[in-house]
Amino acid sequence: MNSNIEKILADVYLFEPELKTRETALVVLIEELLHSKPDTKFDETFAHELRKRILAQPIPINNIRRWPFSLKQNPFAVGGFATALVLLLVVVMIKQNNFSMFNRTSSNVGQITHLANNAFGSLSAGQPVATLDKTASVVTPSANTMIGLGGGSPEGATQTLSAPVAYGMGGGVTGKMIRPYPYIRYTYVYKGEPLNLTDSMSDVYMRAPVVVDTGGLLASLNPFAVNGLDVSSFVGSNVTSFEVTQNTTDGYIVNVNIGQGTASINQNWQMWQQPNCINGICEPPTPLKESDIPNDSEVIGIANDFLQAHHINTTNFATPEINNTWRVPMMKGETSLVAYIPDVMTILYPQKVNGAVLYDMNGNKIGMSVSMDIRRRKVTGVWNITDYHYQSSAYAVETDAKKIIAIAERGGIYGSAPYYYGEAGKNQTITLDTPTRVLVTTWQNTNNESKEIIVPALFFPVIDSANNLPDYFTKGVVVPLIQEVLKQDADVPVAVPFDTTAPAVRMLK
Amino acid sequence: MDISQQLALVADFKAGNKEAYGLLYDEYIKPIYKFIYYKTHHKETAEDITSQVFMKAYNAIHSFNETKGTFSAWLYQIARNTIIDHYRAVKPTQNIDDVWNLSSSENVARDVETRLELEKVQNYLRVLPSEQRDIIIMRVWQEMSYSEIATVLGTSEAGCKMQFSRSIKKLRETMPMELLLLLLLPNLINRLL
Repeated sequence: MNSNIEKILADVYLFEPELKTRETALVVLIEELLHSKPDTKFDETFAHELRKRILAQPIPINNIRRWPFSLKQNPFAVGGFATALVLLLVVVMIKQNNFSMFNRTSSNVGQITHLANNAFGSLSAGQPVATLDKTASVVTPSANTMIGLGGGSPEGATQTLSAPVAYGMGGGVTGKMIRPYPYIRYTYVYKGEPLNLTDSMSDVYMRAPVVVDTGGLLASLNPFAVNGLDVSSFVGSNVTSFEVTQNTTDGYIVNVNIGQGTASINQNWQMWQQPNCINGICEPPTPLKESDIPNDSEVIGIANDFLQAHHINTTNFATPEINNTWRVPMMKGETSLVAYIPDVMTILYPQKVNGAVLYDMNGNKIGMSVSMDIRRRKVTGVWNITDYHYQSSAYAVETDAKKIIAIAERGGIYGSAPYYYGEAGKNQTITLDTPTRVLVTTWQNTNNESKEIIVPALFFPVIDSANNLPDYFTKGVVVPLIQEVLKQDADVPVAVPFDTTAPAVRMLK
Repeated sequence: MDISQQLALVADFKAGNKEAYGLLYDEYIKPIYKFIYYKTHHKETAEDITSQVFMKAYNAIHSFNETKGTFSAWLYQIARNTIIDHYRAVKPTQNIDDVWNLSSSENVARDVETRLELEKVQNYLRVLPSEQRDIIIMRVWQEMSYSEIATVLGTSEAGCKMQFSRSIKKLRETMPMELLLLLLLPNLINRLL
């Protein structure tokens, strides 16, 4: 009997104990009820469209708070109220030493400001484009690229070429790294429902510029100035970031970047006790066993408690997820003896913007992450704490479903395109299911400045089981829907691993 | 989402922040749609009623009074009323709360697969009063806790448990013996083997 049925029965017996004698019939009845649960056919596109339709409406007039009395009805009360308001503001400003000046908003959930169509300019310059450097080892030609091994920089220079190109001992490639071994040729096949892309325009998001006046704070910092330095003498300056250090046992260091609207929390290492140290000599800790890992609800509970204790808002985040990738080798049949059990678990709170979850181009959710020390059951850090202040602007959307599916079947706009390793290479087909609507982050490059943009996209989930894909860890393929972002797809190379069986002369072709 | 978060978002929306309503929508769109689907058995009808529910809530948020219940309870109440309105418009001569009150031969839109899936339970679930059926749906299909159900229905947790127990008892008594035997048969065979 499953635990759900047991729980239901326990509740039933509480009020109808005589039914215990009919348990077999009850179990059958409850099983039948569970078995009959219909598929509700919940449609994400419907939910997305409805959300858009509702939020496009003006705010109902009754929702806007009104003055509690009218000028006509009670002019004296209005005068008194205005005086009280001015007095209250003066008191608050004196009391808070003007610190309230940099409260961004009274709202605790943030805002999205809607701008005119195409307000962010051209979105077509997707990845950072550096000037060609002969020493650089990473290039992005349009076709027939060959990639070898070794050390390039992820921020390597890019070049667009039409002829075949060979790469030497290089290193990493941004995003989808090609493993030196084994070279598997992945082929994506879409087996979902037919796509119906009806929107011709859709919102693109960008973080709203943070305009804060922290000038009032500068003068109050002077008592702590070094050697008489008067920071307020730099007229027109603002405090753009600060760090707070907690010098107590198991303390933290908090970094806040006011200018960017971001913050992070890290361990104050000096104040964290090392569990296996006696007189400064530390023993390596005993490796953890799988049974030492707390269950997911406990881990998420600890993370939630920490965020709540420090008033970190979680309303713009989807349900937290634990990074359990370390379990994958075990699921694929490796024994727990050789499998790696981490000391720290990471919990991701996927960011949502306007209701849609944010992904990166590799198909991973992104958002605020919390790490937890498993031995101590204690949070060790929080990263990517961000303000929720965006601007949105509508851009043209690709409505050609065939084109979108074709990009998905190539593994997205940045590749994991099919690649080869001679005859010995293994072919692997990956099945993609009906996509859901998400948002994906990419970059806009203008005037030597890179800006993160968030564009609507489709997430095609991989439906094959992990056991069938021993070397494939991505959960899905993301395809942006904005036409200008898709333009860069044309310049993305088909990455081909260097064929070590071919004669060296081939490289010189 | 706890009650204080709900109230903070409602307050933000009342203050003019649409995004706050967007977050409430994200939280409740799925459970409300599912609840409606379980009471209509038809995708298009469920989508239509869900749209009406969230539109009504958007336009009438000023009438939401947090001293009288939670936002989610208010939404479920709007959903239940909208379903009743829908079926009373479709079948004006009958006093019905949802599709369960109609026999399978009635001429209303139903998804074929759902009708087949519910074939066995339809006849005895429909004899329950609408509120008891809602408790069964929320507890067994929506896997809601009694405290959540109690919040939605504006009743006590103990009251919900009692209603649920009575509904199960009634179902067991109502279930035709031949159907019970039919369902029990595989169980008995397993035991014998």
